[in-house]
Amino acid sequence: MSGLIRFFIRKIIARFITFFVILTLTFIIPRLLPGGAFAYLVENPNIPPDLRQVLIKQFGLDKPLLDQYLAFLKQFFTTGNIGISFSRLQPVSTVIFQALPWTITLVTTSIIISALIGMLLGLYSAYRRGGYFDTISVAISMIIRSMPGFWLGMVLLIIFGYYLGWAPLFGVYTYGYQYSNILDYIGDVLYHLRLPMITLIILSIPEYLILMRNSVINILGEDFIMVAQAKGLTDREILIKHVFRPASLPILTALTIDVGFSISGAMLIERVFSIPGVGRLAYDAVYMQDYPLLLGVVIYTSALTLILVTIVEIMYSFIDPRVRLE
Amino acid sequence: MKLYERSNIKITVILFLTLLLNISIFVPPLTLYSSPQTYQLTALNYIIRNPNIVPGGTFRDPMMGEANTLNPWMYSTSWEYMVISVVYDTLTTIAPDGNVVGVLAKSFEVSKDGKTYIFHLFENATWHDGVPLTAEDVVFTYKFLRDYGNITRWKDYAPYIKDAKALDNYTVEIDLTEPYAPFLTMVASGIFIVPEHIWSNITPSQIPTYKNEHPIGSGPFIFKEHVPQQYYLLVANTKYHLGRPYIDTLIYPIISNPDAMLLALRKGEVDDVTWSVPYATVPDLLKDPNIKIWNVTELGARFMYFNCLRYPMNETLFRLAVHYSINLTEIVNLVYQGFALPGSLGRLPPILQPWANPNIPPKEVKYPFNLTKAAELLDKLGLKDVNGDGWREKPDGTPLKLVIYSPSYDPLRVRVGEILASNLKKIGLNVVHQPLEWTTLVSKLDSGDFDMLIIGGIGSQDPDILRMLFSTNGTWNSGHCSFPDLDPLLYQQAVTVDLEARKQIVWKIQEKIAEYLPLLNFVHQQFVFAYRTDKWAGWILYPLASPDNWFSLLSLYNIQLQKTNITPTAIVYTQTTTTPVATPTITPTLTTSIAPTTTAISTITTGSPTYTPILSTTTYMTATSPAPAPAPTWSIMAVIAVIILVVIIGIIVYLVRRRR
Repeated sequence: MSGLIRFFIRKIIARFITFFVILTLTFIIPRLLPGGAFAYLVENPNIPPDLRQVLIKQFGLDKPLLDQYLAFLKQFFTTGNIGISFSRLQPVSTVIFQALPWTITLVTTSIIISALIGMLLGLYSAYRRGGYFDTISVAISMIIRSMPGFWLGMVLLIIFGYYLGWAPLFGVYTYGYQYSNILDYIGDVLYHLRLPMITLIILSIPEYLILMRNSVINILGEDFIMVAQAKGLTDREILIKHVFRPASLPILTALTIDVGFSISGAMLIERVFSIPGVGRLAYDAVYMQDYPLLLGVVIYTSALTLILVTIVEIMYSFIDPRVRLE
Repeated sequence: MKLYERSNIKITVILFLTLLLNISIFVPPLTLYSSPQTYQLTALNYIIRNPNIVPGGTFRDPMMGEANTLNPWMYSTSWEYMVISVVYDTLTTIAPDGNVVGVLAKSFEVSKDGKTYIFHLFENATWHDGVPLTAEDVVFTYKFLRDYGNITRWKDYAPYIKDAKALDNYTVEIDLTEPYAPFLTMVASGIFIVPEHIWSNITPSQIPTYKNEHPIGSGPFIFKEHVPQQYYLLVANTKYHLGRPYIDTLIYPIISNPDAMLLALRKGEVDDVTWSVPYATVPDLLKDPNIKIWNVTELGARFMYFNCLRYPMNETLFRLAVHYSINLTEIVNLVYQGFALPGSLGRLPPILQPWANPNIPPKEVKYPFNLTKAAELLDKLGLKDVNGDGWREKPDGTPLKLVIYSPSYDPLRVRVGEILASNLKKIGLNVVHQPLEWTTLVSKLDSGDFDMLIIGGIGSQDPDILRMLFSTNGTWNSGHCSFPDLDPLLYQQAVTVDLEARKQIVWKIQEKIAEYLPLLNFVHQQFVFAYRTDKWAGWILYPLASPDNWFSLLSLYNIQLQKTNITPTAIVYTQTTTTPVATPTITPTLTTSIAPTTTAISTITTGSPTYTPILSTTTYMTATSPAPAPAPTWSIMAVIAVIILVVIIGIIVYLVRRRR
């Protein structure tokens, strides 16, 4: 048991160091840009000089770099904030915490559902390998993998949102509607979120399907499968009891990598479906040249990625105890 | 039955008033413009007021982005303006027909020397928190502008304010440091009056970053709720001094995907769209009988700067030759598919009445497309091909190579640049056309490192924009063309308060511009807005504003709630003045299909602009990306896609199975 705790602590410390490096980089990189990241603010001829002085003071741009860095770290670890968004005129953390729940809901649910579906389909595909289901599913997977995500989102929006009317065209709930109870609200949110979720799920199923298929095919060739067959177990029992668990390990590895990609992929999807998430925030921040907000988005999404990766690694250690022993 | 008569009387009154105004513009010594000039009209003359209308319903007016600040001193985007303009009131506003009319002011007068303005306020106006609005609030606002204006978006106007005094509870006197003719259109119609009891607590250093999350104004709608990146919710101000709006709830949902916004309109989930619809989708949109479109013409133009600090652009003859080598009719019809007016030689778009000079012939009449003529002019300048390489050289024999820059994000202006460059090549000028990314283009413009540069925008409701564009030190005179006899006129119009006298000067300026040609104005582009007519009626439509303008929001009523027939269902102001030379082929069919269902009062006095969300001068960056060819309908494309998909999968399956 102490080994397990040591494993957790080691993982958490490693993640924290990674996070610290990210924090430092996000502080330094914009200040290394030619003209400085705040050139927009400082050199913008449309901003009158009086206003410029006020803003420079407020954002602390007149202090030496080291002081700025220490103030930045102190502010982040005490308040969770990294500055004031130029465009929103609000603390960056306030702006991000309003948007983060929607992104977390969207990304985590879609990852879990797509991983489950992908694994089951991959299992069946490998079991019937060379069959019609296998060839068709692999072919479709290839086609989906080569589609741009926002395009698929737009197509689904036109078909299911506009022509069939099964889903709303924008938003995360009916704006301006008074809900009688919390269940109504949750139902409405699910109704609004299902199309973006389906898009994200469709987009990430193929990866899990192909990985699972390959992994299952490998395992089906192992000796212990023959033993199980010799014991007289049915195919179904073998697949569920003896193949599924070992075959899902590479999927979990893929999950850790995929979390980061899902968050960035969700950014464009959020814009297509008008979801008030972190992705749209990043898009707006780039558009408005709002560096504090953009850096905040980078810091918080990387923090989210690191947390999800750590959770997946801990799950991994339960499924395959060998990793704890290193 | 009674109500029918009433509303008819109303129409007659409005008709009569507009006619009266129409006359008054051309016959100056009428009672309306005695000296000191007194203005008696208010916004009430331009909105639908009918006691039989049953108020109610939710109007959904989508925005594409978040309004970052609701601070009336600091806003910058049109989304911010959409919220602020209905929560706060100005003293005056510019009516659909171009008159300056009162909003908070019942009437107002200008002294003869143009330095003193007196505003008589409505006595029943109150702030949303119940405090009455008095002259003290107006005085506070104008002193605020004078004292702290230099750190706000209104910094250009702050120096003109000398003092503001309350003569009594409902009369304000504003003194200017010098006569400033655009005061009524730009300042009195631009500055939102803020409540003293709230804004006096805000220190100057707080102003730039004050977000004003719960604005308290005196406007027709009360701010209720804002959920970031999702929506703004406003409710009708039932105590509004001009009468309550018939809309009960005004929702601005934020739809970040422009295509989804259009789909939502077609499905009826929103009541209008607030960005320019791609031209190619218009015919398809109009198949729905409940959707109408409205074209809004820009106040500026799509135009090209000549760099007058370089040879040969500093030669009027050269600029004239360039004018002869482009066919604006073709540009309007082929590039802009009819959604534009040909660029006027006097710069102001013809719909900007009374300022646009109707006596200046259109470019295609005065300087018609003629490459031979252009070549002759170049010969006359001494630009001849001496060494026989096919390109013209400078008179001293050195090679001449010119570059035209255009903004790469706008395919339309890139095409215009291509057409112009290829025409100039035909007459032996070595011209290269190079589209540039936006920031590079702007830095080229600012540094003056260009020969000819295509850009767009820079328009205003007030002709003072001519001074910024053409005077030697003008803010927007990026080509640095300077004409000694033009400068005095440009300054004179800015201090001439008398409308008729000012108009004469402005007309004269345009005549001179049409001779000197410091800019090549290609087109005045039109932006297409779509709105639904099955749920809301009472639209006020005019050529310089989208259908969801301030006047519409006060007049719109829900058709489904009405128990009696209400007229009018729309008031349309179109311009009856200068018609463009070549009426584009598409436009007529579109205009007929726009025609509102009922009594349209289309008397036009002076089609002047309103609703320029972004300050006085603006460079449009609106994304208008019409597809060049009409796409096949969606269903055919879907069928083809499915067939291709099935074929591909079939081939894969066949190949894989055969190998075994």
